[in-house]
Amino acid sequence: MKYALYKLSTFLMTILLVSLIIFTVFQVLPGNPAQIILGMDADTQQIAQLEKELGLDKSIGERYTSWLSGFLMGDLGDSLKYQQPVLDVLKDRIPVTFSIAIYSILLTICIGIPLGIYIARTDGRWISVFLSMFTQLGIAVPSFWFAFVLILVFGVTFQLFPTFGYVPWSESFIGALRSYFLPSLALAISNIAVVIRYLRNTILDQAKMDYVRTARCKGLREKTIMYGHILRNALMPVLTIMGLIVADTLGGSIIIENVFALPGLGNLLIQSITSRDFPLVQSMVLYIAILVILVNFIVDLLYKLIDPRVRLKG
Amino acid sequence: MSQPLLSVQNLDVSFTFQDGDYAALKNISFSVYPKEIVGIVGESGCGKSLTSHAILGMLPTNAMIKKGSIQYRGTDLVSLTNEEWQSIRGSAISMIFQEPMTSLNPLLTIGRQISEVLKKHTGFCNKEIKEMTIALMKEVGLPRAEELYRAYPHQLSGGMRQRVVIAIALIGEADLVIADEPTTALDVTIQLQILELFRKLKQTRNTSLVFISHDWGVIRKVCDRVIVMYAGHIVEEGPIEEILQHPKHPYTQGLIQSIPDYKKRGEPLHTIPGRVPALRERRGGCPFVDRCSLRMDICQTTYPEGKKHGNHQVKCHLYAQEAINI
Repeated sequence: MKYALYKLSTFLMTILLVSLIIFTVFQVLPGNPAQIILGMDADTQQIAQLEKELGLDKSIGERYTSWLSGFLMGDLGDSLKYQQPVLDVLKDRIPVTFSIAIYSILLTICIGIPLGIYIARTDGRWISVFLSMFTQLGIAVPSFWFAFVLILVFGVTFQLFPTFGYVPWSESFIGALRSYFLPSLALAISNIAVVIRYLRNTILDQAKMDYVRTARCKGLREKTIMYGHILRNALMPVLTIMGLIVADTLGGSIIIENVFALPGLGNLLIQSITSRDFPLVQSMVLYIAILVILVNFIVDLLYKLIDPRVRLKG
Repeated sequence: MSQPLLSVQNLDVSFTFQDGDYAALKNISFSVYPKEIVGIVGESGCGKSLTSHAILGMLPTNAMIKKGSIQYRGTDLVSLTNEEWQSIRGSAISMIFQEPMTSLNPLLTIGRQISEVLKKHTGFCNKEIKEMTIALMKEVGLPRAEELYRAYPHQLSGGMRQRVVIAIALIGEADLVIADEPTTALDVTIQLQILELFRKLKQTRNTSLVFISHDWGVIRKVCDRVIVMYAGHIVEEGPIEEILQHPKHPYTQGLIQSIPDYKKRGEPLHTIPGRVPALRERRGGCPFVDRCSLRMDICQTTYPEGKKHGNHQVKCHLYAQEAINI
């Protein structure tokens, strides 16, 4: 409990720090937002008027606190491009990106972990060497290339899955599952490869440990030794990697959403950067940062759950 | 004498390297009788641990039994399948390891790690298993056993962990326990406590013990009989007091002279010059010849036959004429 509270306080501190950094970065960006909204030929009075409306005439400290308190109250200001509250713009986009991210992480876990165990168990045989070669490929090739290949094979040739757009979950569960499958898989492939390689190595390392010899001396079956003893120990480092993969997946979705023409956060982020929609970009960056920190917080809690040795400063 | 519990006959074990096979154990023969504690002594690299791993069928992947048999209650262990081994390990033969720090799984509770053996080999229900585990934990001297049942290895001291490892070896009521340097990694005071525990267990349980050590003090405290190994050979074997009083082989004599003793205070400690020859350097003749101060010409070329004086047996050319051949 003490551990969770400690981690929670560092979690909140990190968010505060990140919000400060994001705010500062957007303040030092060149270009006056009021000027951008009004266009190049607006006169100085109009600009001063708009600056006042946007609160740009106040000091940086005041602006930061009002932005932060707005954020805590759920008011992130208005998007310049869409002329509506940022939250309303994000509301429709979030489910799309979250669906892809969660789907692809589930695929990574459900495919990566069993295959990693399988490759470790068949270590030294040709099948293991063959699969290891493929994981090398999975890591080296970028996800958008997989996206094209998947579209070509499953979408165009076999027509098993839709290749663009999506079906909302509320409309048809199976339909949504199908429409999100290709983008999620494209995003998951390299992560699956990373998990397989990592898990294989940690399992083989753990298999050499003394406690495995003790377990074998007890007369336990190889299966019991693998699942009851080795796997738990081997999953610890994989958990760290999973934390990184989640952050990676959010970043990767920017490209994948564009390939599959999905109206998600990644797609929106690119649009709002090109149109200099600062309130929108600023809030999205903060949200993504919070999400990544949240995932790390959860990973920390999971560590504690799996490993009794994890202590406060551990 | 009664039937031996374990009988190793003419066992040869070799390591396979890229440049060929090298014999690590040569012609190992010995028996362990019920309720007996047999010590195996020798320097590092003599094949003590390898012998124990062979008995449990846990040789490293590049090691192989070339010849000989290991019989446990009349069954040959060398030809067992994996499944047959699994039913033997833990319930008939079990093992205690040197490193209590690493031989326990850091993520599982003490209780689970001990009781696992019973879950595998017996049909008792969970409640009975827990009771038996806690009773044994008390027997091996773990205080607050109910509490420790739920504790993790990192919460225990080295001596307590070794008691847990001992409990794991005993819980399946194995007839033969092999202890590979069980006290080496412990403080001297803890060492003494663990040895006391072995002595106590010898009286309360019907277990035979093979006790591997390089420490004569430890061997003397617990063993009935001792086997001296050198470079993969058994060079001498006999009752512990007999060997300590009248060592015959020059290697055993050297080892015993190297034991620090109050009477020898102030004198430099005796050492045997040289080291155990590496696997690749071993050739025919007596393996100890290069380090022996009493070597003869014959030692270079011919491996000595075993000679028996009662229950004291030695393999050395010095005693070639003295006793009956075996």
